[in-house]
Amino acid sequence: MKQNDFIINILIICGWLIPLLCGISGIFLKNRKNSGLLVSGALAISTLIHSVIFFFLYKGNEIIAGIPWLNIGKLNISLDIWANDASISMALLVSFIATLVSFFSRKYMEDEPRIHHYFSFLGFFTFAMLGIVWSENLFLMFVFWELVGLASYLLIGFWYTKPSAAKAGLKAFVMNRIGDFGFMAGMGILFAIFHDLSITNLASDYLNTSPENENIFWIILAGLGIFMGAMGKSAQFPLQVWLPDAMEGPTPASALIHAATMVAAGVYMLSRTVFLYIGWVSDFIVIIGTITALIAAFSAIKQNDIKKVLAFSTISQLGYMIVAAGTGSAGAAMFHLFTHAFFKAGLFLGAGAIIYYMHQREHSESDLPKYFDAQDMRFMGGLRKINPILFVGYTIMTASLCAIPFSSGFLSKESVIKHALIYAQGGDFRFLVPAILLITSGLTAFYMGRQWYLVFMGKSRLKNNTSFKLQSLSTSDNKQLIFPIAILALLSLWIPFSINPFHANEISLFSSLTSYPQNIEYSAPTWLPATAVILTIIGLSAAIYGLTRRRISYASPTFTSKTPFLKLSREQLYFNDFYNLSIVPGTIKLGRFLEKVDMKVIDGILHAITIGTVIIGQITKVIEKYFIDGMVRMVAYISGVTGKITRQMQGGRIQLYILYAVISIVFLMLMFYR
Amino acid sequence: MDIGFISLIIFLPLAGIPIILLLPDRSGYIMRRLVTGIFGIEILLSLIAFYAFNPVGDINTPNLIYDWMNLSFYDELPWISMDLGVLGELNISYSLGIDGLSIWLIILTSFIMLIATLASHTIKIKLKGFYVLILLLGTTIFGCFAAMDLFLFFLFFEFMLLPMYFLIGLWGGPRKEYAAIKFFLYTLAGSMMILVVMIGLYVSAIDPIATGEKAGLIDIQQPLADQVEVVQSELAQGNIEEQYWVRTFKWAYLTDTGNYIPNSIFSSNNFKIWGESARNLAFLALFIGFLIKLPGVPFHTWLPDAHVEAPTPISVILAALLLKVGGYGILRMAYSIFPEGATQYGYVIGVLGVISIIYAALVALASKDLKKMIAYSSVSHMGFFLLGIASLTNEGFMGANFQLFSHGLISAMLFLIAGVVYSRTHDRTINHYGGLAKKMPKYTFFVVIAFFASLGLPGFSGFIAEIFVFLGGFSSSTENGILPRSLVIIAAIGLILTAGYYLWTLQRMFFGKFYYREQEKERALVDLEPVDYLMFTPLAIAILFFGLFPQIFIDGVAPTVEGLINHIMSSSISK
Repeated sequence: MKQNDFIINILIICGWLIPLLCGISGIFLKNRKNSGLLVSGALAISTLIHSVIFFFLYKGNEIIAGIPWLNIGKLNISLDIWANDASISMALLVSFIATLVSFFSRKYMEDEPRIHHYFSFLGFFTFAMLGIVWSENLFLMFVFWELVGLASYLLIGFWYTKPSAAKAGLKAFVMNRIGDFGFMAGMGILFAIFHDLSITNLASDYLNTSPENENIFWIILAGLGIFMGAMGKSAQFPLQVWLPDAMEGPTPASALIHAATMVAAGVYMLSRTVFLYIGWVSDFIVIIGTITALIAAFSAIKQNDIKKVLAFSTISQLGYMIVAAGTGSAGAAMFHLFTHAFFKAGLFLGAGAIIYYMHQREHSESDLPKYFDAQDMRFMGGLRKINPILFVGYTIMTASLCAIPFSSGFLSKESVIKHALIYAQGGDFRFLVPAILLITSGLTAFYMGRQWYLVFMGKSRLKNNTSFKLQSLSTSDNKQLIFPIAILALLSLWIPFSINPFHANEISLFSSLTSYPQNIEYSAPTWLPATAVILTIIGLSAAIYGLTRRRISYASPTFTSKTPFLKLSREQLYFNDFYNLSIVPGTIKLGRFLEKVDMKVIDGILHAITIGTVIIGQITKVIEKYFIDGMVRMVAYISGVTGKITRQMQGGRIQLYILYAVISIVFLMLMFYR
Repeated sequence: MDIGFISLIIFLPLAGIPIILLLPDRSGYIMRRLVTGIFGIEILLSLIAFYAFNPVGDINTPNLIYDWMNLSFYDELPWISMDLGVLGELNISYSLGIDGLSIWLIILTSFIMLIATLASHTIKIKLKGFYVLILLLGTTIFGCFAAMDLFLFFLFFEFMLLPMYFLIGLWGGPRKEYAAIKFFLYTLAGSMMILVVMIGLYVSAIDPIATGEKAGLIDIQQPLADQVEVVQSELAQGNIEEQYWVRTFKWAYLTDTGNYIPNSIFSSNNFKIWGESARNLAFLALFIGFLIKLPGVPFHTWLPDAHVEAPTPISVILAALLLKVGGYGILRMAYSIFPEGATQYGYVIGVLGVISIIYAALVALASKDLKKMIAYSSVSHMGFFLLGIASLTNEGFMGANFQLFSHGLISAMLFLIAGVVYSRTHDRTINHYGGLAKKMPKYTFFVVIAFFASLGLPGFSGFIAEIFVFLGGFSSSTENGILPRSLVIIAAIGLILTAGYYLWTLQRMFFGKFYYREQEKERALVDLEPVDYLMFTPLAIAILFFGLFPQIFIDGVAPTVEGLINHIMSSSISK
């Protein structure tokens, strides 16, 4: 057994480091194009290794092993790997999606001069995410947590010459830093109380913590802090604003960020540390998740950028996962994470293929509308013809996102809402949570139906489409784009997760997706999936009906809906404006003010002291000149005068001296004889 | 390894001065080579010292009597000795030693001095004077870190001002005179406070071994520890007459209240000045004296001016080494000699630290000048040092010391970065640039490394320092109750602000379309030259190395840090 553990450790480390090492060495390749091959190959090998580990270790085996790293005082941090079913499945998912994305990228990014940088970032991103997956202690997790932040910064800002991309990278990193601030504070509090940051040890510490513990307030607060980290990474309200802007990065990178890495990190971390969220923090998590799910879905309905719609759908679905984690069902959260990873990666790659096609059109057609944008859905339409596999795949994955039966999304979303229902039994206003989630699924169907119709149905809304070969994406050259989408579409069906298309065996699924056993006794009432499906159908038909009746116009990019309600959706509820007009300038103004304090107040006092010293010096000078010097001169003067007077006494005549002597004697005699 | 070796480290740079003085002024190239060579040898010497260095101290050191110190290579030579008859004897020694606090700073000094010398190729005028002053500065900094006699330390500390004043005042920017005099007066004000405390210490403390020998209580051949106790108890009972007192500035003896003459000013907390115990006031005086050098808010305003005006190599030395002397001084002098002050004012120091972190980060965010922004980031990062030492925990102290070292590396890189654009266009205004990444990709590569290292990204040394400080700060609440957790949470906001100002600068200066305000100067913006790589690459490697393998640093420092904390804790409990 020990020997096996050793081999598996080596395998884990290989699977972990190979993407990083190949990514770095890819930079130094002479032919930059080959870096794509190198990194894709590395990721494929990594996936293979993870499947081997999965095969050997899956079902109930657990390994915790590592080497010491830092050791000071009570702080003992080791580079510990915690391999169990949850982390192994997650590692497999991460490397698998990354492999598909990198294969897709080789075609998508082929004309990019900095392609070697792109692939090295991709390798680094995968490495950092795998780090989060394997980490056994919070410290190490935080390390990779930040590195994932860096990787996303690099990928989002990949086209740095575009000011919007540079801005989006900055926003993503700073928003994540706000979350990381919480993570660090939570970690610090945990360390202060338990003197340990190992997740498994903390789990047992928490079991032994009674509610009467003197530190209970801080223990609960620590949970809030760590959750803040997840809020940043998983784009939860009010830190969600970075994710839609993250679309500035290359589309395949978005697929990776939105599916298996980055945003998944938050949910994965929550499921790994689910014991931390006790007391009011779990309610807080549920509330945040619910708000996020709703407002993101609402923001999605009026977006015209194909990737922005998907971005908001990601935020919304993450809200579902967070709700599940908050209700204590890490299993449901992870289940939705997995199904979501497949269909969302597929949707993004699909969107990437569509954008690729639109760009080709952009380059080959001359008479384009003034504000043409390859990502704007209003310029698409009728794209079902460009490639049948793409169309079918995209449709399946859309269905999965909308939770239509026979899709994986149906199974996982049902599971999430079911756990929200269990949570609602807690009373008060908790029934709002499942209700809002159900409404949100209706909204989801609406915006996805709208997207699907705008992109694929109807006729192309570009005028002279006859000159361009519609079949451009089906040539053998483009198989690299379509193949990963096809695989992900297949994985978005119900089959990989459950044989029964209407119900998943949660017990076996959850036990393999989470690190802690979970009791599932409650089974959902039949009205739940029925209501969900009905709401979905209503949403879909409303979207399609609305679109078939209206002519879609593409006026100017600044065109917005006149209805205030829909404008609110288009402007993403004005969150960006709120941050950009209040908090950001407020902070900078505060900085300017403090700079003034430095220059005027502190330096002012100093200058005053200096000037005061100089003035005192001048006064001293005056005093010296007139008083001290004056005294000296007075002494001199007096002695001079006395000298003058006495000089006259010394006349040199003997008679005078005799006179003085006589007067003196008389004077003395008078004094003594009185 | 003896006192001669450390003296060699200290005074080797002085050996270069006569050679430079003999060279003609135009042979700057040879001078630079020579100074580079000298500091190269210094690196070698300090690494040899590190190799021979024992973190838990030399057990066989003849004169060492305190276990918690873990001093290595400690030795003392008589230097100034004056018999004052009935008033006893004045004794100033030439004692040197290295412990965990100083070993890495000595290595850092030799490394940074070398980098700064390489960066001096931008200096074109008065080369002779420049290199002489650089060598002089090197000696004083090494001296500060190795001196184990307060008088000797103060001598080096004060002497540091002279070369620095001229280096800023003669080779600086447009407002160099103002910056130089501001720097000089500010530091001098701090020095005066230190001097006052020194005089107080002179009238209070005695050398127990020399006194005992003079009074016939100690036989130098026998083990000293017990005999010293006898001397101390005799002193406490007033049985030793004044004529036998051998007054001392030896750091080791000053840290033990047993060596203080009864009823002298610093003997115990009973002596009050304005209703406050003299020892506490002395702690504050020492603390503020060094805080000015560190610098901490509100004594920091000399720093931005000095940095903005100083030429690149001097900025590098200033940020990477001179600030560290301040931090080192706080630990070596204030914390060691008046340990109970550390617990008494721990909260105040923590608050000062947090104010420094947040305040300076906000000003950095608003700064329009790249170098000024970096200067304020230094103040902000030194706030982490203050927070770390305020926590009085192993983790916090380690973080603080790591911060000194790591910030030495990172700030050196940051100021070199500011120097690159300045040397090309003589313009450091952030908004005048845009999209430099396109034009200067290699430069941008190092900028990204330095910025991310400075904002505390894991993998770089800055992260280890900051996270240690935070963990120490948080555990302070449970270990000794000095820092409340809420204070540390406020400090953590600094993380967000730091990311904000660095990434915003990156976005404005380096990303987007290439742009420079004055088109005719655009051609001057060329990418890094070979000599720049010589500076940037070793720094980047060192930052990465200590970020990935921090235990190497920790192992050298841990015993000293632990000893110091025990010393502080035990003397606070006994009070």
